[in-house]
Amino acid sequence: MPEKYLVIGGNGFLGRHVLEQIRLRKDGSSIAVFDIVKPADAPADIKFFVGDLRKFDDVFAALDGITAVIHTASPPHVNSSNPPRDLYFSINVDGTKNVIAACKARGIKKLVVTSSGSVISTGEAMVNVDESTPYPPQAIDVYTESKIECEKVVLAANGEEGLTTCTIRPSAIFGPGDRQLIPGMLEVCQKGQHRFQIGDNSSLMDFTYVGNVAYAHVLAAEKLGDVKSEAAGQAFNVTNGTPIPFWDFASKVWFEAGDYMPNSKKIVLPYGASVVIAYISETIYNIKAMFVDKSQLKEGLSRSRIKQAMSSRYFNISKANRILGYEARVGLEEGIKLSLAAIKSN
Amino acid sequence: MLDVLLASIGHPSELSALITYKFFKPESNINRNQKLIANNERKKRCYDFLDKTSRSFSAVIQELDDELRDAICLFYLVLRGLDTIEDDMTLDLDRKCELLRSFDKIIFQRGWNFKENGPNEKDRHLLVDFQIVIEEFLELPKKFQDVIADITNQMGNGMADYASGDHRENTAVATIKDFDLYCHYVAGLVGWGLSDLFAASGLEDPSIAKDKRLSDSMGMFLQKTNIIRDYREDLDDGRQFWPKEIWGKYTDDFAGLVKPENAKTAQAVLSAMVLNVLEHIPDVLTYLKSLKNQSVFNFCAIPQVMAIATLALVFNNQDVYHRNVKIRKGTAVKLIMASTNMDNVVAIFREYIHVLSTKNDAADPNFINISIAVGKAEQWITTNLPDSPRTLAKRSDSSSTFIMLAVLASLAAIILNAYK
Repeated sequence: MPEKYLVIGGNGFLGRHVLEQIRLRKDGSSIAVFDIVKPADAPADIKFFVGDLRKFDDVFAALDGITAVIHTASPPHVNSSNPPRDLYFSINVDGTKNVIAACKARGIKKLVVTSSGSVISTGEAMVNVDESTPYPPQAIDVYTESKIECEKVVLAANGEEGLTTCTIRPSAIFGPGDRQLIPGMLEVCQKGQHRFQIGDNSSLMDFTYVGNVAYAHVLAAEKLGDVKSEAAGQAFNVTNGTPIPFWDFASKVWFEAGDYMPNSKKIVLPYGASVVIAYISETIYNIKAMFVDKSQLKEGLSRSRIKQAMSSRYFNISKANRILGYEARVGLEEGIKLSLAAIKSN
Repeated sequence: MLDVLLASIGHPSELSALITYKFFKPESNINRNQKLIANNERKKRCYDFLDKTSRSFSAVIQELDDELRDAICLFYLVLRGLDTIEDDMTLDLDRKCELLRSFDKIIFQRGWNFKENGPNEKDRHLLVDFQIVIEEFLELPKKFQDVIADITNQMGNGMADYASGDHRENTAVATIKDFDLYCHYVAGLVGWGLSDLFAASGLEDPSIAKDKRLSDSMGMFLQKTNIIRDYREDLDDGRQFWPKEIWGKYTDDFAGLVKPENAKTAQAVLSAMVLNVLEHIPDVLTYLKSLKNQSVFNFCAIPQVMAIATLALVFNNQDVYHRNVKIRKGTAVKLIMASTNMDNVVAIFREYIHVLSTKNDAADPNFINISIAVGKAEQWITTNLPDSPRTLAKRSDSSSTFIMLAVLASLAAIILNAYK
């Protein structure tokens, strides 16, 4: 059935792919976008609302005539020892509350919100975790803390005044437009650091092609409209469903980018040695921080980042399989190639 | 013995396994069996046949509990007889098919034997004296005879279809479906038969015989691994079992994979073959987990851990194209001795899956698919066998010190002996 979608954050990395996934359905739906800026290359077939998520009137105005809302907006997650806590909470929590209130005021029935696989992370290994895992007493960082609050608010609003809601929890998103994962790996390569591998590569990691995450959002919106579906009020893990050894993903990216590093030339740093290096790097950071404004500093290798790279992190996605009918449409290899092609063409 | 020990010199756990195996072997079912058959000349002949026709299976079969040992020994000999007919390229095709299709009746004919095999057929002596096997077969309880006859019937007809069909087994296997079907006939069916025998003996639950796919996978995993390992040997004998659907993606010339200039293609073909085998791992572990009898567990687990070790060894290993690659004897003994419980078996699988993963090469076209298969196997284990150990448990300190002393003493003795 055709919908009138509003994609909040539709100019962002994930948001743009949501637009594409809606178009791919070719079901006569209309698309509107709400974002803080309008890009120069905004497509003509999309109605664009520029506004602030935290302002009720801005959101309310954009929701005129809308039947389904997909909310993907979130501030960029910066790796900093001095995170912008207020910014995270005002957008992720207050902004989302605003969206919910505006949806209710407009009598809108479907709201899908992007969450994060990290909301159940304790910082320890995550092995095949499903959605029954509770939120940890202490979130791994401030950003994730705000995402947990956001998810709680969204799921609590399900069933209120005819609104149905659900959330999508992706993990390690990559794809065309990605500014973190694949560019980060290419940066390692440019520095010539791709020769070093930390640990024995036995931990598994889920990666998720952005188009698949976008597809899951659109499926979720569809299921919210179906009274027989159990999707309402639920959170869904969404990944490619193919966890692989962490360094394999990086090796493939480097190979496809033209920087093949044969196994025989790799230098494997044992966990212990890496922690020592990280300790030194952290110390240097702390010394620098005494003289320079912290927000200007980029964190190098830290012990927590090593632990993240060394621990398995993969999810059970059978709930999304079963209730949303979700299955990854673009595999890891194709996804990596699409990402690199997009980087090259820019 | 010395060369075997020297091959394992950098691997203390293998050395200690070898020495323990050689000098401290516990009283076993084998010895018990030797006593049981001492006064039964015909039975002794059957176990002699078993020893001669199978190096790898003879010991594990003799280690089985009394209820099953003879039945499985005869099952093996009957299938070996069938195989000896199928294998013989000197036999007339019509005659061969007639024998293959009627072999399930032949095993009930007292006095039947067969002298038409070519002189070079390695197990021809078995068929020359096959009346001995038939007599012993007819001594088995009917429930076992029925299972053996049923599998012989299916396998004989399958082999005849292959020998006379479009894709002559000894020339080429076209599709992955053909490949699976061939492996089903020669190995998956053995899995079916064994499960039926386990269930009939009462040593295992009847449900073990119900899930045919699991039994099939047990055979497929072994057979496919052997087919990869035996590339060169089969090629030299004029056979090829690797399906064209797999290698044809990379080359038109199957035999040309041995050429050094084709090493890259050869690597891709090999990884595509290994990828095909990896998918059977969940079934294999599911099957092993459901077993209850210790002797049946050992019997089933030992070949499977050998197969995963072999698979890790052949993966990304160009030697496969030049010679028969085999795991070290010390490794084999260590694996055999560890294959006594599910925790150890899972740990061994995990270790070798990891070994395989470390050999995965980013330049290989199957790199990500192998990576995904590795992840899938590991994810399957964490989902279905949670709390499984990641590595084999280490022996306690005191016993390993003792064994290491024994190892050093034996090594010294052997080396001194060698230079006397």
